[in-house]
Formats: sequence, C-alpha cells, structure tokens
Amino acid sequence: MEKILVIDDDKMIRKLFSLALTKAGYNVIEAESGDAGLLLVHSERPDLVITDYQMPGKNGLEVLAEIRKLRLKLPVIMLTAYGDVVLTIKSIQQGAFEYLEKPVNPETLKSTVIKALSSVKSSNSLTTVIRTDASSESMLEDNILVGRTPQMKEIFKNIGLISMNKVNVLIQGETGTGKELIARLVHFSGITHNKPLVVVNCSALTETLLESELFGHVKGSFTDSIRDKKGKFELAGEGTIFLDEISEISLNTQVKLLRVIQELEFEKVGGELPIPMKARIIAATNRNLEEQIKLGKFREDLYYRLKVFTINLPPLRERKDDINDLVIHFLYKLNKRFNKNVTKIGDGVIEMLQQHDWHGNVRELENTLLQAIVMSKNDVLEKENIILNYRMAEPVAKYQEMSEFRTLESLEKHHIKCILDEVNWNKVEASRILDITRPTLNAKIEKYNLVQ
Amino acid sequence: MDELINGNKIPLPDLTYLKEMADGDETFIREIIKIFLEEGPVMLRSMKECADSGDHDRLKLVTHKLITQLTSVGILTAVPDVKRINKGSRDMIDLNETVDRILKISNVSIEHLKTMI
Repeated sequence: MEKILVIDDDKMIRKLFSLALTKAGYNVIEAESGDAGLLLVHSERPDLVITDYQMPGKNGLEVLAEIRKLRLKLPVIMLTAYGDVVLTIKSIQQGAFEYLEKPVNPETLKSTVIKALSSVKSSNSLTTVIRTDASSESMLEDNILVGRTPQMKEIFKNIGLISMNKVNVLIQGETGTGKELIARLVHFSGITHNKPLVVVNCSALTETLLESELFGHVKGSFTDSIRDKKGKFELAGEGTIFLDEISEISLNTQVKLLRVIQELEFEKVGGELPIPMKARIIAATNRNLEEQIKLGKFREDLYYRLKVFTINLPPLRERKDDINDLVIHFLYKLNKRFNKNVTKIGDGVIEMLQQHDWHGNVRELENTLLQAIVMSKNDVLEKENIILNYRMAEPVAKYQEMSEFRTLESLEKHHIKCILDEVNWNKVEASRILDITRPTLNAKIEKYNLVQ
Repeated sequence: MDELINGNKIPLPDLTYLKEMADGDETFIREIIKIFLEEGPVMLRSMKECADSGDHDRLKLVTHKLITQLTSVGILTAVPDVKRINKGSRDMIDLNETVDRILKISNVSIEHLKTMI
C-alpha cells in the first residue's frame, strides 16, 4: 500500500485529508509541522508528500527544498488556503508536482495523488536513456546531426568526402530539416575547420543591402556609407560562406554571384579594385531550384555552378526511424540548456512521435520536445506533456469540416496564424509563403492580434 | 426564533463539500465536525482578540486558517468577510463590525453542528 505523508498544522485539514485518502486505499501518516514532516520523510519513506504552505516554523517551500535534497524524486503536492500566483510559480519552480488550493475538491485530490504516484512508478520502471553526468561538450558536438537511417548515413559519408575539398555545395531540403547544421558540419569537419564560417540569410535583406553585405562597400558609395565595409566574401577568407535561402536572391544579384564564382574575384560596391575570392560556397534552399529555373526566377548557369555537389536532406517523415535518436539527442541538449533533468522516455512516446507527420521537420520535433520538457514534473518525457501540431495536415479537409460559414477576414486570420506557427514565426519565411511584404504581414498581425 | 444577519436568515451549514470528501461516510463527517468544534471556536475567539488589540499580523494568520475551516464545514456565509479581513484588515474601517458579523454567523452554525455529532 502506498504511503502518503500529510503535513499541516491544522488538525482538521490533516484529518480531512487523512480520512479521505485512507478511504481511497492509501496508508496515510500525519505531521503537524514542517520539521516533524521532514523527520517522517527520513524514517517512514513515504511515496508522496502533501504539505501546507503556511505553517509555523518551516513553511511549505522550505519543506519542499529540504525534501529535494533528501529524495530527489519524491513527489510533493503543495497546499494553500487560496490562490497565490507567486507561490504557485515558486512551488513549481522548486519542483512541486502540483499546487492545490484549499478546500481541495475530493476528485481533484484523488486524481492528483494518482498522477503523482504513477509518475514515480513510471520513472522507476524506465531506463535512463541519457547520461546526466556527461560533462564534456563532445557528445553534443558528435551528435550535432543525428541519424542512423540509410539516407542520413549516405549524407554523412558524402560530408566526409566533400569536407576534404573546397567544392561548392548545394543543400536542398524542407524548412527545419537541418540545412545549416549540414553546412556547419561540412565546414568544421574538414580542411576549413580552422577558417571562418560566415552565414548569410539571403531572404532577410533587400537586393541593395544584400550586395553590400556580400561584397562590402567603399565609403561614399551610397547614402549612409560613411566608411569602407568588408563584405561577407572577404570576411570568409579561405573558409566557407553559407548562403541560406539562395532562391530568394534577385536575378541581378544572381548575375553578380555567378561572376564571383566564375572569376573567383569581386569588387566592393562602389569600388574598382578586384578582391580575390578564396572561400567555399555552400548554398541552401527549401525550394526546388529546377522549378524556379523553369519559372525564370533562378539562373540555370548559377544553379550548375552551385551544385557541384548536392545534398538532399530528407524530411523527418521519411526517416522516422531516426526519431528515437533525435529525442535522446534533444533531451540531452535541452536539459542542459534549460537546467532540467528529463532523462527517461515514457512508454509509447516514440511510437506516438513516429506517427506524426512533422511538417516542420526536426525543428518542429525540437520545439515540441522543448515544450514537453518545460511542462514535465518528473524525470520522464511523458505522452501527456507532448502537444503535437496537426494544424497543417490536410487543410482542405479542415475547411470542409467547418460547421458554419466563415467570413473572409476570419479565414485570413486563421490562415496567417497557421503559416506563422508552421514557420516558427519567421516573418521573412511567412511573408514569402503568403506572398505579401513584411510590413503588410506586420500590419495583419497587429490587426488580428496574433500572438506567438 | 431564527437569527438574522443583514435582515436575512442565517443559513444552515452547507455540508456538501464534507459529504463529498467523506463519500457519504457519516462517521467521517461527525469526526471532522468534532474537530472543528474543538478548534473553530478557539480560532474565532483569537480572531476577535486580534481585531480588538489591533494585532493585524496575527489576524492575517488566524483568518488564513479560518477560511479553510469554515469552508470545510460549510459556514460559507461567513467566508467572504473572513477573506476580506485576511486580505487587508489594516485598511478596514468596519473591522469590528465585520468580526462581529462573522462571530454571529459562526456561533449560530456551531450550535447547529453540535446537534449533528
């Protein structure tokens, strides 16, 4: 029989809880102060502690802090007379399993007790999948790109080959598949590892600004150019320049970029002296460049210059066997970043994640796990804390399922919100998909009160 | 004759919560009421003394406990006033009047609870 310790200086409340929980089949022990409760935590080894906050001597938070030192996993339910937001936050921050307001509804009490006890059982029955004592950075670095599926193994082999040469590389893949990680891996794993890596997001800048960013400018070449500025090609030196979202550059800039690749030299904006270009170019896109060529939006000659070697990153839905390894990798990474200790994976979690379509790919998986880790109250990644995003799946069916006719405005609001969520509120990406300018997108976000 | 508060009859204690907690177990209900009859009047006296002496810090602690006690045995009519005192008795110009009202309601309810054990 599971043992529950109730700590409250109020005899009536102790008895009320004690009788109710005894009737529910638990062995209940009582303490009338924090100090007496802590002694019982030691001697009686309860499976769960329910403690009041406001008590003479040690208060509930102090009791919780002591319990965390004694027994890390022992779940604690905090009680108080009525709602206190600050106390709620503090309790959860310090690791309380739940916070209940008195008088506690009997059903809430019983269901919370069941959940708290089962969270420990679940934890005890599972194996730790990640080492919490991994102090070196090597694990993170070694697993920066995770995957054991044949597609990923092939990519790793290719990276091994191309990283030892300075050939240009084109990385193609959907949003969130890890194109920048591949670029970093190519750069850091080979002959360029001790040279600069310069990243340029081509979609984030206007044509004029992009040219100035890439090639630099000389003082006085345009308004506000008050001094000479080095461009990214120059800063990359003998290293790598990573041109993300290459499909977004204008045809004019494409011509200039092509010339750089052909001539291996460039001039600053407003300058005349040629500067040698020694960097390797890695370009990435989430668009099909061959289609863009057919549409006249991308130059064929530039395409072939960039795709000396092409890496096609598969979407996560085509390599679901990697999800287990990815979850372990992200648990390690996110625990470290957010000071959490979720080291076990609950039953059915991987199967549930493998059934999802992951339109946002690995980035969506990481964000989903981050949310689950933040919500977790023990050391287990539980199904109930995982919120999967189904909003982009079969949008047509969703519209058909609508029970009432909606206004154009409400549909627009819904659609913009879906797109923003899908691209993790990357407004550049969202305005590109929606085919509207960023100021227009910002105006609509404000108009519809959309929040992330 | 029925006791009145603000012109209204003082309602009987509402034992819905206690019955739910006890899952209908009469012995359980009686036991909790017994404990309240031991502790509740002491707390109510303490509240009165604190209000009279202007000990607002202690008044806050006492009313904090009273809220749960009174709610548990269904003396719900008194609870809003107790919460008001708990929130800030220093600023209440009607503190003594409020305490007297709580006592009047509680004493009537306590007499009724005594008949149940």
